[in-house]
Amino acid sequence: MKSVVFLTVSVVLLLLGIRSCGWQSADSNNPEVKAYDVVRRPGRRSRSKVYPMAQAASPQALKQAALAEMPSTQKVLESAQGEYHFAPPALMDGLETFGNMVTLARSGGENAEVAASFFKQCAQSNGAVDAVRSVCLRHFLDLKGADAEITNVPYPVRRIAQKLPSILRPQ
Amino acid sequence: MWGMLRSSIIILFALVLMGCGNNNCFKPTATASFGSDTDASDITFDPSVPGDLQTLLKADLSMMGALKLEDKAEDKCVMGITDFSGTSLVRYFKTRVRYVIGESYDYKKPALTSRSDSGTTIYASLAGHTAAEGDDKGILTVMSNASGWLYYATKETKSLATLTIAGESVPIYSPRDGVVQTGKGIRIRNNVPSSAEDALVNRLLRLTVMLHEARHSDGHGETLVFSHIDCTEGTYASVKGACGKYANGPYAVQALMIRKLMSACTGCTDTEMAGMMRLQADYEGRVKSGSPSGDDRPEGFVTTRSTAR
Repeated sequence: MKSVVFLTVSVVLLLLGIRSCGWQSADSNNPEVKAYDVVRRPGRRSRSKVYPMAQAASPQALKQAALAEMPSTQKVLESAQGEYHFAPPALMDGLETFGNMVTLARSGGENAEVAASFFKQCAQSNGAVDAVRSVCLRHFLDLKGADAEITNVPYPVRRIAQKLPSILRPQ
Repeated sequence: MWGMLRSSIIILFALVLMGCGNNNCFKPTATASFGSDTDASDITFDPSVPGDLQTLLKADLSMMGALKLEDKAEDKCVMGITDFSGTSLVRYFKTRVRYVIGESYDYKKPALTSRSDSGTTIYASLAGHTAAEGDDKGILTVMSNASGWLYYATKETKSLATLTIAGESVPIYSPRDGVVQTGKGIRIRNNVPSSAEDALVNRLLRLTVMLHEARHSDGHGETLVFSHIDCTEGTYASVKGACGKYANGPYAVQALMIRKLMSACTGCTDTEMAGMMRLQADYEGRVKSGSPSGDDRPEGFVTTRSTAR
């Protein structure tokens, strides 16, 4: 009897401990769960910083915001103001909304599907700068598999994507 | 049994030979840095570098020695180092960078004297060398390699440029005399703008700028200072001097280091990681597909001075 109680208490304590260490609940794959509830992932560095927009908006709204803020090639070049030696500042435009997409992707379930569709559209976006398109392609392929079909992505974007790390691939 | 063992040895030998991934990987160059092998912050800063910027960069550099990054044979080839321990990175950096000057320092007007070639370890023809000519007047200074520029500018005339840095007379016998110039640009470029200046991600990204500039201290003859060339394709297709000619040049080093440092960005947010990836992608795109590796042996009178300090 003593050992059953001890075992039960141990299991409960263990579960509580795991939860407080940042493990996802089973709800994290539930599409009803809002983006801001599911930004942590197991056993990894803390990525729980959520931006105000992420706390207020639905995944679809976050996706639209991220698409709207993608830096164009023209804008990136204009922002260089003659200094091209290092990356022009507009390359970082829309970075926070983009980061929200990565967070959604990590949360799995329907959120990850929304993120994957964002990454696909982004990779195919002709006006966007190659560097951002290639990051999107990398994430898309990590989420949907290396053989996932995606058309209208030029060779330079594919070439760069091959060199990028797979931070979304399941560990 | 013996046959299997022999086959295994042959395969192992072949793998070792292929260790660098391709045949145009150059052997690591002899390193001769100075001071501590675990602390890169003991390089000399000229007073023209504002005090707060000195403090910031020294703090960045002091992190370098503690880094422990994943080793991959092909990565070592890009930088010509034997491993990616903090000690190796510090040694790599300090072999190539010794002084930092501020943007107010006009290094393009140095004291000039004539130079003899005695003591020159390598002095190669510039035939085949291509470098972009850009007008850099009024452009924000992020970081540039002043000793590389001075050596290149004075090489054909056999003159010797001498700078005075923090009261020390520094003759530029080689790009490896290691003088880099920096300015306020390093605080606002190549960073994640929504993160603090002293956030880990921005410290790591500044280190990649410094390692990029360090690479400009290498090369000889055709590859001298691993000059940037005009872009012919990609985002910067019409831009002068924004691309690299070699698979082991400064842009390749910077892209590689950003990728490797992502694993050191402990606690970084998704936004910060996305920023690092964008920057890596930008620099990857500046090196043409199929670019060869360049001979990274340094040029000039490097041996004695390298051990003099």
